[in-house]
Amino acid sequence: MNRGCSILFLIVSFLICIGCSHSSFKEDTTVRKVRIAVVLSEGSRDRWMRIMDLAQKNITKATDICPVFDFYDENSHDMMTLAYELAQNDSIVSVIGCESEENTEILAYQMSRLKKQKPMFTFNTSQDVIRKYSRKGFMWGLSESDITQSEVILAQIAQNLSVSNVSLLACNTSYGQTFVDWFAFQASELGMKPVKILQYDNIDQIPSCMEELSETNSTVVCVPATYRDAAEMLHNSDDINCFFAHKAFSRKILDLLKESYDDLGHYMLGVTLVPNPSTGFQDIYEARYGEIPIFGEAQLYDAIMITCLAYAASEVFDTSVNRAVADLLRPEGEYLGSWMSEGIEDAFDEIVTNQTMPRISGAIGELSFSPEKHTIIRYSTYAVQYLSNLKFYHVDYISREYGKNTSTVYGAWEWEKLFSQDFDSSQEDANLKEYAGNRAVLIASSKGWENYRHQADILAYYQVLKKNGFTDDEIILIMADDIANNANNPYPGQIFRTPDGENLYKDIKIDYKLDELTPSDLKNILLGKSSKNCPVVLDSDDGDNVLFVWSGHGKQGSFLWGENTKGITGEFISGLFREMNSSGRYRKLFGIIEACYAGSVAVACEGIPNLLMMTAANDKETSKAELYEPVWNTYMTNSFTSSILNVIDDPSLSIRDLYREAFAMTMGSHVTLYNVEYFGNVFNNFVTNYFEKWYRQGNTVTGDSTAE
Amino acid sequence: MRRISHVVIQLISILFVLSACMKENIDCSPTKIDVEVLFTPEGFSNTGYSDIVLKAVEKSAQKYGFEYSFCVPDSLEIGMEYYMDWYEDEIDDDADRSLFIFTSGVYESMLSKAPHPSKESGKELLVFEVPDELPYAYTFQLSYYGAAYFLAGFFLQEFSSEEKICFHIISANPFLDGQDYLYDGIADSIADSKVDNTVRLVKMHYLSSYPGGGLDNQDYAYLKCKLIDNENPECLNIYIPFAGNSNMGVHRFAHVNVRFSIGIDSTEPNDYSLMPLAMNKRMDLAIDDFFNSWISGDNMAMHTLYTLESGRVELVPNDDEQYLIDQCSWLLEQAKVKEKEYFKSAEGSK
Repeated sequence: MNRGCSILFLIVSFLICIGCSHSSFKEDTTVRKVRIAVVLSEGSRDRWMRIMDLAQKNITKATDICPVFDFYDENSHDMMTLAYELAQNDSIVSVIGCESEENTEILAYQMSRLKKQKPMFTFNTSQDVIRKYSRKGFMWGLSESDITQSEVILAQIAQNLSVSNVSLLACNTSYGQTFVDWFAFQASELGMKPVKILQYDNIDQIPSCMEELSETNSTVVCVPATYRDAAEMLHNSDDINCFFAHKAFSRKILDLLKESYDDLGHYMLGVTLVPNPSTGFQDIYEARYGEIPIFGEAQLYDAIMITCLAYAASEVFDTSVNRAVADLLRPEGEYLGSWMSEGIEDAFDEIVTNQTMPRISGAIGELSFSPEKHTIIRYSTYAVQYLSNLKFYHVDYISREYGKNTSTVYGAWEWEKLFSQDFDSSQEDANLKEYAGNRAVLIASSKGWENYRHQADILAYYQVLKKNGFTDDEIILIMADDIANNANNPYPGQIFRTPDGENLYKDIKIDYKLDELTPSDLKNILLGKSSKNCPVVLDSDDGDNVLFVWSGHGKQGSFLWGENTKGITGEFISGLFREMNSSGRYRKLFGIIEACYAGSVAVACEGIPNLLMMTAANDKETSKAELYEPVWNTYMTNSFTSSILNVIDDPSLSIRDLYREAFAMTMGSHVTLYNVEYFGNVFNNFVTNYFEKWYRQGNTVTGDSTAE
Repeated sequence: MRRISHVVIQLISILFVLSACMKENIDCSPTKIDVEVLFTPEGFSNTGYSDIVLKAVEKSAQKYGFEYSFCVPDSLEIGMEYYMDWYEDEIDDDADRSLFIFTSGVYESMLSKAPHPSKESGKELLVFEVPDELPYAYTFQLSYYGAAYFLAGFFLQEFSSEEKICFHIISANPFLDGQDYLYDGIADSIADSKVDNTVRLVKMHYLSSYPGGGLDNQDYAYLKCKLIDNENPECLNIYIPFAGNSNMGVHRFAHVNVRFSIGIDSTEPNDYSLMPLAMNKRMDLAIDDFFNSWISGDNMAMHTLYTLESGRVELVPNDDEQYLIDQCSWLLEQAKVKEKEYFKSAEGSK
């Protein structure tokens, strides 16, 4: 307790209460103070103070509200403790922070545990933070996801540098991981070949990484964790064309290059996040302070403004501040207020006098939030910037949004994305034996609480099949079964794939637990060879359509099998399916594979008759988890599975339709079909042929073109 | 409080009037003034004409201690509604004088048909970038004739061995004031260069055919340059933007495709690989000139023309080209003389 008090005292010692003694106050009104916690780095404190002062002046001039600030240096506190205290402190209306990804995540974690949500504003929107918290409804991201930054960088390289080969060097943080996860996907979409992807753990590894990359004859996207890493990359970039991500462009790199590197002639090109120039924020800032704003200043201003207007609205409409933030930032409606004091006054009058909720725009641009994620701003603005002779220059402004005094990401080009595969609609199916029935093999090949999603997904498929008439005898279900009764499970005995979904762990029959089987056991099961160890086998024949669903981890050329890192190779799988085909174990086999680099295994199956593989990712991509549950500390499902299960009920869905739906809805990887040529016509083969039993009493079943 | 739908109205409050006065050591007006600024719909881009105006007004507001609001309307018509609100409203209680600034002459035709405040009302008008005196408003204009004369002469001298040189002016639309000066400056410089057996051209290209159009389409400006370049493969093409926020698209094209371009309004020539110089407007000085006179009431001219000689239009060379510019001091003097003659003859022809 004493220690807690000491910590509290220390925190209070950092308190900055800016007095509300401005003469501009309306004398006949009572000033309402709105307390806001700002958790940012001490290094740029002068800038944060400047913005807090500016926002306070404009807001107090326009309203009867006065924001007051508690400033905390995120680098000199135990973040877990600080975040907990800020979350629990009811006098704090909103929290703004942090600069580092790790601290942002800790803050979001503590804020997510509150029963009554309190708004948190951040401009640190790494993929991890967004995936985990963006749907929770309290974390308001004032920058687009770093995924977009990766897209903007690659689009700039594709258009302006006209190169065909790109590589990536990224830091091993959640910021860098975003680039690692999306690089191959986005480069492919832009028609470039992703040659090499390297991650480094510390600055000492940068020289060897750069040397390795110099041999690739590719343009290298550099994603440093800090300006120090950026300087080291720059120092080792002889003979390499580099394009730097946002964090390289810190004003501190100028001093570092001057002091520690003899590289004054170096040229550093890249992108950085800026306020949209159309707001005039940067112009006025430059005129008033004689320098350009740093990243975060416009966002901080907007977060303060939103908090104060939401506070006013919460009192008028008798709702929570967080709910009021959501209403202010809703995606529909006309904009009324703006960041300057008269715009704030307009918005405030609308709330207080007209008792309607305005939609507002800010210093960073229009405060338009994503209708999908709701809490992440839809468009950020990026400046193409370069450093030359120790000076920064902006050469262009880029936004995914059309207009608004920026170039679009894809510039003036008629851009054709290298989208989905084309298939031959006149292709004929092989003359197969008459359809006789369905079988399914469902395998979740991972274990452990952290891999919850793989077993949840497999059980979701299982429940679909059961609902569609499959019996347990017709399904082989293999999973580790260590989730439902895991100590981490807040709902013992239950498994869910979505927060409001049904319990999937009911009325199930698991045929084998993962630990009980080896890859060779799997082979025997699929070939119908029963043994003492494996009494239950696939009893299919050449009249059965077989659905094969796999969910787990993958690496280049193989799927992992539990903790067996050697796993199941492409060679193994293709050998197994070839043998199944030659021994008449299936009529048609449709494989759905959820794993990173799934394409690298599926490609080995090409040439096997009447078999089709649909993979979550191609051979160079990771697949993406989604729906993070912070209290559970795990993801509930995968993006690919969600895209399939969302449409699977449609009885008219062809395989090609399913592919297009999955392709469009799966974010972060390219859903790919393998072996179409040897499978048959994907326009006339229907999903129901694999997911629904042919004979179900009272149902009319969509036919198979090659069927009877 | 004044409210206009579809209009972004923004206000800057200056809270340190007294301290600013002390710091700047200038005479503060004993009267309180209120300023309203109407921009054109394309708004700000950080490097465009509207940006230098906003920065200049902000600096003047700090220096002279006045409050101002500004409006970036969705259309010229909505901009005029903003003006009419100002016209119809009483002056704010805490202000003695009120000034309404039109930052572009594109409003002139609509303004001429609208009512104008009387002197007694305490309200006055200032219109930028109109060529002539207006009976109801203060006006000023900054001419690019002399600067354009110089830059064309500079290129013609530098690349005298080139068979074909073409200056392409990428204009937003045919209705923008001041583009004739730019065209004429280049055309006269070409005419005066007297080089035989060579082709020297200046061409005008428009991004839009409508008043107010083409000022905010960087992507199209880029594409336009690309098309022009494809059509003139044998030519040394030099691109000169005159298109507001679309200028950036021209500069980006030139930078990426390694072509010459000329900076304009507020461009930093060192930002681009092949931009030997920029011809920039010192709106901060021009606006400061105005407020200095308007607030003190001294030497107040109804119309002011700023030429290259005034220092309110300036040539800013790229660091690497400074020596070349220095070598052309004779050309600079010639450009100033020619600009004087140009306006004298225009005056005479009225």
